[in-house]
Amino acid sequence: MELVGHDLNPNRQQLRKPLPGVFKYVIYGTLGLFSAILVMTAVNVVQTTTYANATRKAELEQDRLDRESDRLDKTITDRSLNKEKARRVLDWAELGWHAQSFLVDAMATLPPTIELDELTCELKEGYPQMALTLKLRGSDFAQKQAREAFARSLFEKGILVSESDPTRISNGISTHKLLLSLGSAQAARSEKLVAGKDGRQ
Amino acid sequence: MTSFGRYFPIALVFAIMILFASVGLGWSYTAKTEAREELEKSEKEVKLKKIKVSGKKSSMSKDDSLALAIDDFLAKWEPHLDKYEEDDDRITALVNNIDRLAVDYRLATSDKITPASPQKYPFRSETIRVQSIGVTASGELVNALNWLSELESTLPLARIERLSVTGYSKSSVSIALRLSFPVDLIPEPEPEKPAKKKAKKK
Repeated sequence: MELVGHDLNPNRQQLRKPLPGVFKYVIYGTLGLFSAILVMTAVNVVQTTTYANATRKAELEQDRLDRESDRLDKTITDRSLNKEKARRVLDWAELGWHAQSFLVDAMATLPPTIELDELTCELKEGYPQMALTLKLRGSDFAQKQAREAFARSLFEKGILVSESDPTRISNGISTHKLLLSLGSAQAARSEKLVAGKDGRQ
Repeated sequence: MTSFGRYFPIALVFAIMILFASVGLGWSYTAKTEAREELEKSEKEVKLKKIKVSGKKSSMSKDDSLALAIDDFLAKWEPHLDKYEEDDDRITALVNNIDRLAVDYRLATSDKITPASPQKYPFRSETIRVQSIGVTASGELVNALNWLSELESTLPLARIERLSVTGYSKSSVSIALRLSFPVDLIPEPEPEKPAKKKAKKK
C-alpha cells in the first residue's frame, strides 16, 4: 500500500493500492513489442537498401548489355552489307572475261597455214555469253583444222559453244559465228577472284 | 482519481508508440517487397539480355572467317570501285589513262567514243548504270596485246563488251574495244533512321 496526499489539502491522506504485479509484464511486453517492431523495421530498411543497390547494378549491367547488343547489331549489319557489296563486285567481275588471255590462246590455236582476217567478240549485256565471229583465210582443210583446234581450246578453258551458225564462205574468207557460254569458266575463276589470285588483281 | 484515470495516459503513450512503429514496419515491408520485385525483374531482364548477346556472339563467331575473307576481298577491290564514280573529271581521267597506256606501248589510239551520260545495264535482277568508252588502238601485235593486258589489270572492273581484232596477218593490228564501267555498282547506303527513345522506367 502507498500513502498519498491530496494536492490542495495536504493534511488529507489516503492509502492507495499499488499497481497490480501483472501490469509489470504488460509494460515489459509492450516495450519488448515496440523494440521488436523497431528492429524488424530496421532490418527491412537495410534489406530495401541492399535490393535497391542490387537493382541499380542490374540496371547498369542492362545498359552495358544493351550497348553490347547494339554494337553486335551494327557489326552484323556491316558484315551483311559488306557481304552484299562483295557479292556484287564478284558478280560483276564474273560477268567479265580476260580478253588478252583469250586472244593469245585463240591465236595460238590457229595453224600456221591459216590467216586470221578478223576476230570479233561481243558480250551479251548482263550475261556471261559472248558472240564470237571469226573470219579465216586458208584452204578448206586448214580451216577445218583451225576450227576444231579452236573448239578444243575453248572446251579446255571451260567455255561451252551454245550455238554455231553455218560457216559462210565469200572471196576465200570463211566466216564462223559462235555463241559462247562463259558461265562454267567464270565459276572456276570466281574462286580465284575471292582468293585474290586472279591475274587481273 | 480512478484507476482508469491513473493508467490511461501511459496506456495511450504505449498505444501510440506501437501504432507508429507498426505503420513504420508496414511501410518498410512494402518498400522491401517492391524493391525485391524490382530486383527480380531486373535480374530476369539481365539474364535474357545475356542470352541474347551470347546468341549474337556465337552466330557472329561462326562467320568470323568469312567476314575476314570478305574484308580482305573488299580491301583489294575497293580502290578500283571509286574510279568509276559518275563524275566528268574521273571519266576524262579514265580516258586519258587509257590513252597514256597506249602511248606507253607505242600504239596510236583513235575513234574514242564516250557517251555523255551513263546508260542502263542489266545486272543480276536489276538495272545499274554503266559508263561506256570506245577506243581503237593500232600498232604491233605484241604491243597491242600487252596494252590490253595492262588495261585489264589497271581497270579490273572494266567489262570488255566488244573486242574486234583486224589486220592480224599484217604488221600492224588494230584492236577496237568497247568498255563498260559500272557507275553505281555499290548502291549508296540508306540513311539511318533516328533511334526510338526508350520509355523511361517509372
